[in-house]
Amino acid sequence: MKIIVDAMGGDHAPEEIVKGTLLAARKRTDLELTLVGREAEVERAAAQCGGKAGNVRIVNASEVIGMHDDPATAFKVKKDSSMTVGLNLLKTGEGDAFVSAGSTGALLSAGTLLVKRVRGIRRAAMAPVVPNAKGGMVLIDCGANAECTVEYLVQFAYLGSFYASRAMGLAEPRVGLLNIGSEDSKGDQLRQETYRALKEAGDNGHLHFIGNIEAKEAIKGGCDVVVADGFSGNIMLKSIEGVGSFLGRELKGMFMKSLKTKAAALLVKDGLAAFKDRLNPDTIGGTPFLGLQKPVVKAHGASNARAVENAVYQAEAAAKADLAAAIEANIGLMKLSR
Amino acid sequence: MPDIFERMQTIIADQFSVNPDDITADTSFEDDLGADSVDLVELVMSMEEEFEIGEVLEEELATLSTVGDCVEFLTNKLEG
Repeated sequence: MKIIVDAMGGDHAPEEIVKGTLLAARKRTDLELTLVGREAEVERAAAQCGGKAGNVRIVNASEVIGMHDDPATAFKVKKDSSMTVGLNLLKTGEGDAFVSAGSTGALLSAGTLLVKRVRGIRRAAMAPVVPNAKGGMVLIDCGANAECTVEYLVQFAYLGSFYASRAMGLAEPRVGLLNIGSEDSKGDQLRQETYRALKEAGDNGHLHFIGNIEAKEAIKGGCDVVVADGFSGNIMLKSIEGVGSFLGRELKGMFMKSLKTKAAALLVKDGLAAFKDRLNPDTIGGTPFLGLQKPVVKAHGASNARAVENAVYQAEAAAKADLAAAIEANIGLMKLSR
Repeated sequence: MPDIFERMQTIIADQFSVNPDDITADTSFEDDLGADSVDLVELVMSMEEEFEIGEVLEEELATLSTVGDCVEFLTNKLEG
């Protein structure tokens, strides 16, 4: 499996990106990794962490897409950027998946227009696996498409379901439509029309649609795939992150209160560490854009080496899942209005 | 070498998953193929690549609503 990594994207590039890629390369010698970026800087970063591994190559790209570049056009304006060069390598078959911690908007535009969407797919969507009471759920979309149509949401439901089934190993992922209540009539016109379309898909046996779902029920493990427009999905994601961080702080305060509570903390130390780890975005590494012809994974902007390493593994899993084939085989079911 | 229209038929058939024979000069991207803004940008990028015409400007893109518009636009570009 060949994974291409944008060495220059993210707050801690290239050092942490290179370090994380090398961690993955040393642990997984079966992977072939390509770092794309300013060669001298990438070489220097590699030298700082013990030198380049045998299964890593560097492809030079002289430019970097920054947060101030226009996301819609950056990849065209900066043709020799690490993101553009890396995505072109993916497009031409020199890799099986691409990872970047750079600008989300630029990566979405560039991924959509260079790697291209699977034919018939209206929009690529961001679909992180978010922790819930039953392990994890796919939240699709969580920010790529603020405004959606019924067709987009129906397609997200299928994309999320294929991903949960192929990458998470769920036999029949339960798909819920994020809404303000579970009754059929809840929500605005978009939610009501989407509900009807998804119910029909469910009744015909194409999806395991369980109906509308409230955010709190999804977090309790009520479904495996949460379908949302990017605006609502992003609010849900950030709320989960905020609550997780708040709870973590509260717990810490509680345990650090006195000698007695500190002793109690020692007893549950492992459990606390596991809890913290589950909510740590570095553990997951990245979020795939679903709906593209080849996997593109967005690692978060503040990625450290561990996050990058995990994003590489996630990209590998996404490539193995071969989502494009599942989409192509079912695209007829996913089109509403052409 | 296929002419401009035939090459456009191939590009459009691939992108929109339609039969090339169903594409005529009057085929409207929006009305007949259900194209939206992202589809049109993707199409124009394919045209830039296939015909090596350099970058198509946003105001030029806005004039392309049918296949015939594209053929005329490309003819002018390639001849100019």
